[in-house]
Order: sequence, then structure tokens, then C-alpha cells
Amino acid sequence: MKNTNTEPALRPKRRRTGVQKREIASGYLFILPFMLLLAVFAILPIFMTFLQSFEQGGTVGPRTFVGLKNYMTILADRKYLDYLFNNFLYIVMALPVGQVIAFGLALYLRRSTLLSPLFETIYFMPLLISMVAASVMMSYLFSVNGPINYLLELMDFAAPNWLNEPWSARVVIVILEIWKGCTFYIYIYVAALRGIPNDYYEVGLIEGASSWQMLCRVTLPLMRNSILLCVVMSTIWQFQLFDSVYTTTYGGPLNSTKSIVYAIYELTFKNNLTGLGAALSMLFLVIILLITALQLKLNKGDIEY
Amino acid sequence: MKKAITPGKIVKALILFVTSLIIVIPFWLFLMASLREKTVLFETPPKLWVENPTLENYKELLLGSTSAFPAWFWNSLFAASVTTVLTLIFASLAAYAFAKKQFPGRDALFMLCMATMMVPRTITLLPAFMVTRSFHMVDSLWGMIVPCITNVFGVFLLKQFMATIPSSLIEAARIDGASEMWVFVKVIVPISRSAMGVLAINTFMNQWNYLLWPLIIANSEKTKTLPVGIAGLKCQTLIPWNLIMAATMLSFIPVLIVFIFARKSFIEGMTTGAIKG
Repeated sequence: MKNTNTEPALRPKRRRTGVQKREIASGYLFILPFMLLLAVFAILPIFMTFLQSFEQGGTVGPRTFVGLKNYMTILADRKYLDYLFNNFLYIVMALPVGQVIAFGLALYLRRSTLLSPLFETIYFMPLLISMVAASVMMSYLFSVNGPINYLLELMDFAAPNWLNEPWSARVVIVILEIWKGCTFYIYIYVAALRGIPNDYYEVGLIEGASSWQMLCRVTLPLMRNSILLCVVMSTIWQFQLFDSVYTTTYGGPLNSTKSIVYAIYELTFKNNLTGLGAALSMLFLVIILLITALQLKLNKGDIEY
Repeated sequence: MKKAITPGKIVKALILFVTSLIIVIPFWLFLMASLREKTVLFETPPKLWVENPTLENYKELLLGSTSAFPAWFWNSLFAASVTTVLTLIFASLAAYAFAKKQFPGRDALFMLCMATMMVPRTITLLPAFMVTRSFHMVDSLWGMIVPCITNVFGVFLLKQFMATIPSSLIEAARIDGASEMWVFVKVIVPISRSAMGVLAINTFMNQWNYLLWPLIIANSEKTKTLPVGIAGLKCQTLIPWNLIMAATMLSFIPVLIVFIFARKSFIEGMTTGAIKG
């Protein structure tokens, strides 16, 4: 195979251009099916959303241009701020707890032992099921006559009607998001931890560092990029939270659990206010892009072992 | 390496054990409840072990005259399988060209693809719905499948892998007089098997568990997928918990079967996007 590198250069020039033309044509043909689909179902809709955010009308029928009116309506209406607040609340409550749990468990699973396959399998279970399945399971656990309330009553606590009070409903959604999502990051952290050369720890051992010092001075700084990646990924996913709200509370009680994506879905497909939905989508996109830009900026400093 | 049992090790074992229980118990309680008669479903105490298990709930779900569950199950299976196969075909063709072919605008087009990845699908729900409607695919399984084939991440994943295939292999096949398609099918695809396996698992799982898009596309019971169907049961005024439980349990089966046989590649398939992305 080693002589093939010189092969093309030995060909006569006229034939080479023919081959090149064929290469170019086949290149375009190979990407054509995918690019067509992407253009029709992904790229075109982005521009359409942008245009629709300046229009009013239903999913069917004529649309009229209204300028910035949709944006004005959204920015003037407090309830959209509340939905954004809910999104932030879910992130602030679920993300740190989830990441700490995942990182802690990853530290324990870093070294393969006899039982590792068992734990790896168990921790993978929430990742196999749909958010809908996880939501109905949690709705059952937290239902008025459900197992959680039974336990609380055994311990003489007042059993709340979890999904019918604004704050307890939010807490259930946060618990659900942590339970369903956080084990995902274990696998990323374990892979990253196994990539740290052992020398670092041996130096630490020789210098008599405690395991806590090792964690803070060796592991955490070296894991900076992985942690950052997981935090950003988790933020972007949490921002798009929809399934859990739709399946546990339908946004209630009194809109207290609605997320932005839920509001977009509701405006567009339930209330037929597509202009408002599109404007909210565009504002949402700005937030997502800001987070992504922040990630790219923070990710510049790569770690080399 | 010390082998002695230290307090630290006991704490570690305890934490792993307790967190495992927190994950397993909801599954177990749900399974047990699904085996109770529907009239005593919520009777306290919740049962960790059901003495007289009954399959009545499953029977009602599978054989009941009004139950649409078999259709949901079939729809989910069909949509997820077809999406997976089509994604593999479309993405591998594009990835091969992006990785191994020289043509003007290649890098710009690839950047365009990557840029669309930054815009979440949730932003373009309505226009994507309108485009799908203009192809008369609303309330059909194809409406759930075709828009989801545009998997840029898949192209990225396969391109990264295919870039590592030595060009000399392709050249050698060409010198033997192989056509472009032959090179792709007989050389590139077999070598890329592992990466395509990862993408296949990833795509199937995402589609099997996807709620939002199928929810918008499915307007009738007969086109609903499992997540849409189960979420639909949950929003009835009198929640049919017995059916929800049985349906949820049955929805785990196909995924569980694949997982048991391919645990390693499954974990890779589900987490690889993060590590490489």
C-alpha cells in the first residue's frame, strides 16, 4: 500500500483533471441528500421563525406583518419573565446537586472492581427510559396517596399534595430532573478521571497529601474542562425542559411550573398565537446562543497532561 | 495498594448501595403496583412484594377493545427503526464526502451544518410543522421520521471517524476500477461499523423516547407513539393509573433487550456525543 501515494502523480495530466472532476461531482452527490433535508427541515425553518416573529396569524390562514409588536407584548408581560424564572430555578436547584452527585459517584467508580458492571448498569437505568416514563413514575411516587406520602405519614409529617402546590410541584420536577438526568454525567466523569495519569497521584502520595488535598489540588483542576462541559451541556438541556412539565403538571398549578419551551408549545399549538410563539422562540434562541458563546470562550484554555 | 477494610471503604460501599436503591426503588414500586388490581392500586401500604399478582392491567392494555396501545408500540418501533436506518444512510454518505472528498465549498458547507446544531429544534417547531404539513406528512409516521433524519451530530461523529481511514485504502480500491458507490459500500461502511453502531443506538434511543415532535405531529390515537400515548393517558381527568403503569413497563422491554446484549456499546452510544462533542 505504500506506493499508492506516488501513484496519482504518475498519471498523465489530462486524465488527472478528469478524475478530479469526477471527485468533485461525487462529493456533491454524496452530501446532496443530507444537505437537502437539512435545508428544508432545519435551515429554512430558522429563517421562517425569524420572519414569523414579526407577524400575527394562526397555524393556518393568512398572516399579517405587525413589526415589533410580538416582542413588545412578550417583554411587557410579566408571566414570561416568570417562566424564565422557573427555567433558572430548575437549573439553579437541579444542576449543582446533580453534578456533585455525578462527580462523587464517578470518584467512587473510577477504579474498576468486581461490582463496577453492576453499578454501571444500575446507574444507567434512568438513561434508558423516556422522560415521560420517568415523569409518570415520579407522579405516582408523589401522588396524594402515593408511597412518599405514606412514608411521611409514618414519620408523622404532614403529607403535602405535592403536584398541586406551586413550590412543592417545582421541587418534584427538580427531583425528577436530577433522578433522570444526573447519572449521565457519571460516565463522562469516569472516562475523564481514568484519563488522568497516575503519576500525579503518586507525586501527591510521596508528598504526603491527604485524599481531600488530592481532590482539590490534583483532580479538580485537571477535571476543569470536563466539569465545564457537563455544566454547559446540562444548562442547555435544562433550558429546553419540556417533557417533565408536560407529563407531571401541565404547567400548573396556576402556571407555576411552566418553562419557556412549554410556553412556546402552548402559545403556538394550543392558543394558536403563532407570532408570539415565534418571538418567544427568537428570544429563547438568543439566550441559548449566549450560553454557547460563553462555553466556547471558557473552553479556550485546554489542559495538557 | 492496601487491602484492609477502612471506614472510607465502608462509606463508599454504603453510598453506592443507597444511590442504587434510590434508582431501583421507583422502578420496583411501579412494577409491583402494575401487578395489583386497579381498585386497590393506591391502597396503603405500597407493596414491595405483591402476593397475588395479576396481569389484568396488561391484558386490558394489550387486548382491550378501546386500547390503542398495540398501535403506539408498533408506531414507536417503526418510527425509531426507520429513523435509525435512514439517519445512518444519509449521515454516512455526507460524512464520507466531508471527510474524504475534495470539492469547492466543502468546509464552508460543513461549518453551516455545525452551525445549525447550535439552534435547538424547539426554536423551529412551528415552521418545521408547516414544512412537514406542506409535504402532507402531518398525522403520519413519516412526519415524525423525515424531519428527524437531519442529524448533524451524526454527520460530525461519522466524519471524525472516517477521517482516520487511510486514503490509500480508497485509492487502492479505485485503481482496481471500483466505482464511487462501490468504494463507499464495500470499503468505507464496513470499516466504520463501530462508529455507525454508536450512532444507531443513539438515534434509536432518542427517537424511541422523543415526546415533543411526535406530540405535535400525531393528531389521532392511531399515529401516537408510546411517549405521546402514555402522556395522553396521564392528562385524562380520571387518570387510568393501571394502564399507565402497564404501558410504561412494556415500553421498557425493547430497550432493555438491546441493552442486555450490548451493554458496553450502549453506554458508549449514549455518552459518546458528550465526550467527543
